[in-house]
Amino acid sequence: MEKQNGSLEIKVAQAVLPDELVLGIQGYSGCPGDGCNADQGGCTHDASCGQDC
Amino acid sequence: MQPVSLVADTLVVKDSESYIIYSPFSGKIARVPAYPDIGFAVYEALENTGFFGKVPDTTKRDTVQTWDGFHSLTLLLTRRCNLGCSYCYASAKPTGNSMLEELAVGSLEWFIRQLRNDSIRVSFHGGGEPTLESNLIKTVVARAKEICGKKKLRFQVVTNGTANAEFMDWLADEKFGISISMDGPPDIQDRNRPLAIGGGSSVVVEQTIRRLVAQNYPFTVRLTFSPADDIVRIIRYFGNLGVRSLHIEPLFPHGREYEVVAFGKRQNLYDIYSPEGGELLVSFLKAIEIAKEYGMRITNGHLSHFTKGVGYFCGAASGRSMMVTHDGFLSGCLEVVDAQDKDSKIFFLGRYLPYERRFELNENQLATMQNRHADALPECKTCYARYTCAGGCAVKAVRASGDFFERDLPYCRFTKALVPIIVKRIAQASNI
Repeated sequence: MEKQNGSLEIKVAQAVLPDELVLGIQGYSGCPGDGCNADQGGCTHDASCGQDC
Repeated sequence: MQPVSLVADTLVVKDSESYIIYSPFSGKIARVPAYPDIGFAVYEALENTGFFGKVPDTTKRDTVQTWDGFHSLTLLLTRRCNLGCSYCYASAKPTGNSMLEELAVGSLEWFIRQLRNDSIRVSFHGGGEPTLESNLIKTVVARAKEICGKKKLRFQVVTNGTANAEFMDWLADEKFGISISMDGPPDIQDRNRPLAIGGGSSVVVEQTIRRLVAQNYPFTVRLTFSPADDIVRIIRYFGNLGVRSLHIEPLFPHGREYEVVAFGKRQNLYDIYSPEGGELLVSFLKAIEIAKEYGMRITNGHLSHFTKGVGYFCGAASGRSMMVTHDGFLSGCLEVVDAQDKDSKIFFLGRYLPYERRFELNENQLATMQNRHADALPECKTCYARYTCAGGCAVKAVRASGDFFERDLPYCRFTKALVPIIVKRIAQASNI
């Protein structure tokens, strides 16, 4: 999406996240597996379980 | 000017002659010709597009008064382990003690009684290898099914991958989230994570991984990385094994073989060592590139919060995740696993009362933990990455500095350096 705003040309887009990085664990309200501890903040140990969240 | 800054909780990254503006909370990204100072034309133009997202509730700060109980349960079932990992934070041994069934079931029942939502989430974790207590895991799962009512159940295990095929299949049948700790090709795995009785663990762990891959079961490998090793070789090894989800963490020098908490290479001190922030960054970026070739997804404890935003790094050290040690204490950390730990005074926030079958919570400890928040930590509250790492891991800070309110410094440097790189990658992927 590209928008023109007055004299300023500003490109605004919905961000596309790189596929190779897990940049956000959605938490239990959005997780099909109903989440894990990660949505409570996560940890260097148990922030991921491999389920697609 | 710093390469990255915040405007209204939105990241601003200088990129050549323009600026990339990324709002993790609205999911929008833009490229603008001038810095978007609040009140000026660029900012207003962005605001008119609905660019700036609301800071999410996940960043909220708790108090004892607003605390709504524990949201998930983790049982640290045993101090016993069949591996002798050189960097083991828990210094687990083959002869360690395990949790009594009464405590495991009592913890589950109390957790469910105090739970205020419809999702029962139970994890089995370390301090020892949880799958050595496979019968106890089955008992807890069976009891949870008996008493869950209409609440949803979800289980997770973090394991060294040495359990037999029958038990791994049972975990898969029960739809467990599975995280397997493994460090790389056999020479690396067997050096870092040998069997306690001697010999390598790579053969059996590799078998476990191949079995899950063959079943097309989703799981994550959790990798502990030292820059003494070649990250490219490690990623290719896992890629060729069929691993599709990798959780990379640096080695933390707090384990049984590390008398000195030190980061970076120390000649002749240790074979493997904990990276400085910059070293970790270089390796991590290489890992991303190689992972792409295999369709593998990578994360770590800091990145996983990037788009969501958190006020607390850790559920346990903020009193949201309930963690029970094998000896009946509520711990604010997976790494503080029994009362013998010198930092248990900092991290323990309650204990089990067996005759009353309930936990006694220390509200003063809870309040202290709730104060380790991104908006409160002196060095973090104005940082652009505050809702990404929220000060980082509390126990790493305590082990290194003795201060619960200090940051995990090497990881702090890594995260600060990584954030603008990630924003530029998002801009590229978004064609902006």
